[in-house]
Amino acid sequence: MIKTENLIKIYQTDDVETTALNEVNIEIKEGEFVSVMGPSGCGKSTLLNVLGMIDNPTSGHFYFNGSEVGSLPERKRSDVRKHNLGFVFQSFNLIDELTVYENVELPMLYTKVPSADRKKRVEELLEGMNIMHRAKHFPQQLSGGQQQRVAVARAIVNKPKLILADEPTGNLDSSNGDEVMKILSELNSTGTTILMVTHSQYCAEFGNRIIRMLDGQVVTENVVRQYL
Amino acid sequence: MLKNNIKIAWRHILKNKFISAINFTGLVVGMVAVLFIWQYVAYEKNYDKIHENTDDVYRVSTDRVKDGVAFMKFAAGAACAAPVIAKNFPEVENYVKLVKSGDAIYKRKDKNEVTYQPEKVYFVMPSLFDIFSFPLAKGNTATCLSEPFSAVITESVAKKMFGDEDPIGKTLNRNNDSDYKITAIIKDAPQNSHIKFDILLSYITYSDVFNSDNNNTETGPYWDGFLSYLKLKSQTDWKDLESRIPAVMERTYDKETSESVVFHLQPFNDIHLNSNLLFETEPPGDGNAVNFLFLIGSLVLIIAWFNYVNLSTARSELRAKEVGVRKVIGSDRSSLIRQFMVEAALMNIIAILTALLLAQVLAPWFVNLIDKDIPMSIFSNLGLLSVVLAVFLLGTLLTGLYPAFLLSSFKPIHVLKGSSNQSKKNRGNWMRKGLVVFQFIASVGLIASTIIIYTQLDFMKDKKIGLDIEQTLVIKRPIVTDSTFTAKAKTFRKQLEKLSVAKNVTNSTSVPGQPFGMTVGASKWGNDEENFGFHAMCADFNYADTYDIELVAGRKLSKEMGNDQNSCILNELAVDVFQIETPEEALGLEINFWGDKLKVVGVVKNFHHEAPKSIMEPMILRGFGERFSPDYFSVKLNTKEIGQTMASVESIWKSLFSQNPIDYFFLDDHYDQQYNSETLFGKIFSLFSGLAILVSCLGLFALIAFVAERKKKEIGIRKVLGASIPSIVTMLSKDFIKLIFIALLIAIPLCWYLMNNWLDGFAERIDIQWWYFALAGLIAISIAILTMSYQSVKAALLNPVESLKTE
Repeated sequence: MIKTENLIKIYQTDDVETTALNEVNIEIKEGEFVSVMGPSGCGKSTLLNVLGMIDNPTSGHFYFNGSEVGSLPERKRSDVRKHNLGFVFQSFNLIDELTVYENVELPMLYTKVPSADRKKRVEELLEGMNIMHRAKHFPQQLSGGQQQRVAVARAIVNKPKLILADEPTGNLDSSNGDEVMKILSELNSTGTTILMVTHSQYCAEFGNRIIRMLDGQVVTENVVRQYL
Repeated sequence: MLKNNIKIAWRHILKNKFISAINFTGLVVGMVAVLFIWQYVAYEKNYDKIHENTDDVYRVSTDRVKDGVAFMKFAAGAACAAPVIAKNFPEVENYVKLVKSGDAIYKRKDKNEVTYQPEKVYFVMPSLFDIFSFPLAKGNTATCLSEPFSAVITESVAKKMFGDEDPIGKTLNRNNDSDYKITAIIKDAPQNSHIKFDILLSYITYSDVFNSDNNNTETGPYWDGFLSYLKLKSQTDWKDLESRIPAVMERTYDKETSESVVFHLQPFNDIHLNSNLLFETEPPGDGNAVNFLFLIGSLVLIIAWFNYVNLSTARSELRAKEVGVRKVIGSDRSSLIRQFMVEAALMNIIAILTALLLAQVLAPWFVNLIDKDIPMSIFSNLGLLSVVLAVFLLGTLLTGLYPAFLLSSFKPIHVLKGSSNQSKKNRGNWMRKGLVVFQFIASVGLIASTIIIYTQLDFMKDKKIGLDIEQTLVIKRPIVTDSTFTAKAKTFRKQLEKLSVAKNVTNSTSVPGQPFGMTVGASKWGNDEENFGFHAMCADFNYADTYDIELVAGRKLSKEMGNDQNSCILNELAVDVFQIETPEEALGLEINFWGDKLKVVGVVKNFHHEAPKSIMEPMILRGFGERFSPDYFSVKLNTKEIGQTMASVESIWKSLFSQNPIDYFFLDDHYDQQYNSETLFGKIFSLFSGLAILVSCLGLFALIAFVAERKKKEIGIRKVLGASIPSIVTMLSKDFIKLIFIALLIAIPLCWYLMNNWLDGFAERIDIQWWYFALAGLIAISIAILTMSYQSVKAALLNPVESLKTE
């Protein structure tokens, strides 16, 4: 599903040049749950952003489902994104002015899903996440765990092939964190590919492969024990 | 999607109550200003639009020319103008002449007790109804003015004099001396029509009956007072036709006449705003003033729009996260632009609905302020609806586009990482600074202009006009008079003199603040070929004393000299016109005044018979001859006790002129009425300047609040490190003060240039002083500092623990 060849990302500010990704070569197959780990500043979030097509690589190749997408213009990337990818962020990034229901519904407005189908899908997801009773509330009226469940529901509402999760449990206590990880695992078990950046070994082990990074490079790739 | 956009827009408005309230207030104030100004401008620009097909109608104005220089320009000009032009140019399809009839009292012949004194009565040719489209209520316009002694009255006169009776066929008596049969009734002309009247009398009465012994009504080049309108064939090049008129005059008249009488054509639709000649039918409008007011009305709205753009871009960082999230989950740029446009549209639509409501409520107040009977109904006016639509669309585009493009250009990677793109941020900052500078250019400019306008108004009012018009009661002559009038006028004058409150009494044919009434072509006696144009009036021996006119040479008119019936006084300008070196040399000069031999006995200093906004003219002040009778009685009072005085004057009046109601005025008030249009301009200008400044300050207030909010943490840290409150206030406001100084530098030359142009329209004007701008700048900066200090002091006083904790 994803393949990168010599992926390089360099950030340039006035005098300083920072190499965030340095010749990264990875491959992720459909149905995999891959965790990316590494110390702060190692480039893992940059990798996630590049693979999530919200950032461009400086050089190298990035193939998504066999097509080169690394150099696509913003409009085309946006198109690929909205039909194939779902995002989960550490800080949830729900839109404060929209209710739970509307936040989950939003991606379907961009993919022009008919109204009746949207309603059915949102309700189905909110029921599944056990937050239907909060549908009319605004994000700031929810606990962190509830907010992240809404964010996950929003990420998967368009049934994406790949979910990119950036420290999805970072702002949650352990029980809420567990719950989110369970949801991600369940999604993976139904065929959704997941790429997750995390600091937590515990969370990383929910995946079936762990990529470790340091200074912008992939240092090791291990298959998680239970899959050995 | 639209529903979603509207919903989120509405929630944003509610969530940011402070910013929304500032935007809303500014927009509403701006829109109300534009709605009012637009109605006023539309009223002025739609003058005379009741007439269809006036594109080919022109008024003929008459210039009196000496040595190639026009020294008098008449709107109601020479009697021969239209007939001569029509006879010689086949391009003229039709023409109409109107002559104003003097003041008169009209009575119903069948009910003598029903009387009416109309303001405007004209003798008019029947072709009036072919050229103009005055709507008929009853009768036949083809025949109603073709017979002598026919009258057409307006609906309101019909109502006043005949109630529900049918006036057609009934007779009106004019001043006990002539009877007119009513042949038609027409609807009242709207206020914004420069030809307005109460009664029309058939022109043939004037030309063929009253002046039967003299065919000058059609051929006289020196007989003024005839309004002449030509209807040209369509596609006629009127300028070309105008340029060929002098050749026709040369063929028709002798050399002197053709050189001294010059006709011009004025497009009918330009008359109201662009013509200011002698004998206009009504005080003309001022095209420049109308454009000026339109500009400042619009400026208020533009400033409000800029507030919206400023506050939206200032808040862009707060919206950045939303933009980033939306982009990540699939929104493209165009749908984000649409979203921000919907927000702008929603704010604009709420504002305009409120503005419409407010404008409706405040309409009577505005009509009262501008003292014009403008129909201020929003729902009956299609033009206004299109303005509302234009304000809405333009407002939405202007307030929505820039923030929409700026916000939608944020890259999700930057905003999600919490570092919005620095270059975009800078761009937003520059734009914001630019708009603040613009707002203050407008504010400083408007304050300075207001100061200049009022200084000029005061200058004109306080100017020594060369006359003493204080404490002067002026009584107009009775309208209905008979052969005993001259004797009665003398008695009236004598009795006025006897009043203990009367310091001085004088009779005259004109008084200050009124037109002279006579224009005369006079020449040195025995040298009739050299004819000069003068304003003229008759007055008795006491005129110069009553009005305290300064004598330069010779003597005043004198009672001892038998009222000086054959003497006259010149002003200094008239001495120049006769090409005489000194006032003393003019004494003893004999002049030909309509065939009378008058001897110059004195020369007076030039004085402003009319307000100093118009130029002073050469003038002859002559004693009353046999053929003149007084039109005004002036009484200089030695008391301010008006009640008792008026009671005495009225009782004398009743004993002599019982048939006539007394009509009087106090001269200083009457004279000041000449400044009505300037005073009104000043009033409207200062009102809208005030609004513009208010809206600018609202924006500044919100901007500094925003800056203080964003710098809360910095303020906290600085305070912990020991910063004083004044230093924090300075830190917050210094950038804005800098911007205001930049605005000042741009505003001064701009305002100087524009106001200099405005002042050039006055015959006597003030010079622009540097301190007007210093004062304007000081006012603007003080208002701005006051506005900012509330927010910055509030921020500076905040407990640093609070501000650091919230971060």
